[in-house]
Amino acid sequence: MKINCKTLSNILVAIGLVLIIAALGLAFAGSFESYQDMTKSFTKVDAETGAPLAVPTADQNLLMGLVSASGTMLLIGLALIIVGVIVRLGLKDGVISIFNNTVLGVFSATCIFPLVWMFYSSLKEKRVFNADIMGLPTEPTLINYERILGNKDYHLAESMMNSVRTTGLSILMIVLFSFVVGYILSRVKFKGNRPLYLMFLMGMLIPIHSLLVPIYVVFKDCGLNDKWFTLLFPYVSFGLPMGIFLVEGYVKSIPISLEEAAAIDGSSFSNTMWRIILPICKPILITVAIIQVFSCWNEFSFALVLMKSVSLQTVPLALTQFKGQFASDYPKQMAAMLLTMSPIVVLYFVFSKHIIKGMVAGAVKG
Amino acid sequence: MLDAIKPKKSVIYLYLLLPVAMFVFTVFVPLVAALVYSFFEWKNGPVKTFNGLANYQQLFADATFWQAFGNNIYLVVACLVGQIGIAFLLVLLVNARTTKLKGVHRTFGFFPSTISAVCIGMIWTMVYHNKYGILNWLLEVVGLEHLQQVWLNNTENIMLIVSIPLIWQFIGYYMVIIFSAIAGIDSEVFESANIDGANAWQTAMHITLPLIKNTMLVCITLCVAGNMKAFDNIYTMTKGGPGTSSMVMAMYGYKISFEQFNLGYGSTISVGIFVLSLLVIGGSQWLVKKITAKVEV
Repeated sequence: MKINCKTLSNILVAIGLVLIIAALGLAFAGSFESYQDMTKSFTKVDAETGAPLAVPTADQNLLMGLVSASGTMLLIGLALIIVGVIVRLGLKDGVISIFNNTVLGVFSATCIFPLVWMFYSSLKEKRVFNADIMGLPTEPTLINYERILGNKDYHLAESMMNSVRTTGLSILMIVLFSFVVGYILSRVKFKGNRPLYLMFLMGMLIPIHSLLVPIYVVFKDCGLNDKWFTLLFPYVSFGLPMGIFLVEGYVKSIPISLEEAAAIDGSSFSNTMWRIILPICKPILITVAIIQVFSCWNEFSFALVLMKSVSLQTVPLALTQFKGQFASDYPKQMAAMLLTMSPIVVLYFVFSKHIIKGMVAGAVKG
Repeated sequence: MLDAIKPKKSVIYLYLLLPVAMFVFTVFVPLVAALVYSFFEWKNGPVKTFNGLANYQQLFADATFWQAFGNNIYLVVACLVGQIGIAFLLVLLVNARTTKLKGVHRTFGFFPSTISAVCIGMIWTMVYHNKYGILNWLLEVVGLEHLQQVWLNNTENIMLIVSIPLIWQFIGYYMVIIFSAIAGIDSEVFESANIDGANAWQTAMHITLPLIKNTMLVCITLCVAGNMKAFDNIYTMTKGGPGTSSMVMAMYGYKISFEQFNLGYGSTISVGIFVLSLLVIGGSQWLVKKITAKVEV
């Protein structure tokens, strides 16, 4: 009896899901907008004779049939799933389960939908998009991507190179510096140890956006504005404190006898640090790198203030200019966004488990 | 041999020189410079004239600055309730026994927080667009055409309208943090609560919440600090407009310094942002600690 119940519920849910997917497919194929327009035009009748003003053609009839069929299928599908779940879990648990999964499903859908919408809309021409903003592209085209990459004036490809360089070098320096400073602050006793520790601690508390204007002023006086390496200064400096604290905490968990043994074997300080401690610290250094990849790639305000040359712009900066230039051409904007987001999106979905773990560790411990 | 455990000072200083110099130069030098320049009248030219406390008098009387500060506070409160509150509720749902696809919800929910604020701002500008926006499209589909409007021109509700993308972006982020904190609680605690007849809501409020107090404090600090520095979203969506109705402090400092080229007063605003942010962050922590201390007694 129990197995029967389970099988029945599985069958109901499966049929329901198939119906819903089919219904959504049909609805998109039928396209909401044209369906609405059509139903409006065919319901109008001649005031005197009562005869309809327009008669649908066979194609249009088919389309309207498809869309209304999809609506019915959607409702039946949903009903089947609800019945299936209740059969399986009983009324109270079933209702709770449906509520939980629906709320979370809607939330997850809103998080991922913009990406999906942007993807299929970027394959439309502006004219097609403006006529129907939600429908799937009827004639998918790569024209937006071609135009963006083909025109050097947009500087998008160039800005991606700049972002890759800036992010890469920043990460390298943050990881290297965090490791060296974190290790020394945690292991070596010297006069400046506590003051330095406090200084970096303060660095974490300082609201960095109050530095926006002052950094511009100081860098301008020193002639450091608008160089290819300019952004390394703020990115590395703002990333250092958290990196140092993560490394410092991590090194404390390594038994000091390891280094004592190495010293007895004749290893120098530098040799121990680079050859023995560095490999042990790899996990925490990867965490530091993960956190910083996203913050460096996405950083906008300091790039906005410090960089003026179009050829040195990073991605977020180039995007805001692109937005100004093509304010009403949404498919083009979407193509540009997707193009510049792609490295981060691919990185995220491939390593999402590690990335989420690393970001959380950084947030909680830092 | 002793050198290996207690290395020479010169070696240490050599290792520390570059990072420390870079950090001091980028963080502390500008801070001091801002303090100095905040006492000068300086309009981007070579001429700087000392004018004492005039800039600070102007700052205290500057209605736009205080409006911007108020908007920052609005964002802080909206995001505390919206991000951390909703995240906590959603985590309760994720933790329910019958919830499916937990991993998918985590991966998808966390995704927006990895995207740049500029992209988020651009996406939501599209959502809010009067003609080609999803929001107005949705209103038409459900038959509420009379609510359609040019959302980003709505002066009265603009702060609510710009804070929704911000809240939405980081719900998943706080969800994952809170989720991992709850996962660290011994499951026996929940079992005994269940045996004692506590319902889901009672368990959440009286058992889960007190046990993850420290994580919640971290979330609150992150949220307050994050919203005191709000800039990217506002810059992309409204640039502080319409008028100054969605102005935030960093945006105002930017406008004064780089659109009106008033670097002296811009420095004063920077000092103001510095002091006010520290006050709000410190104050919120003090408040939370005081409230939670009372609850324990």
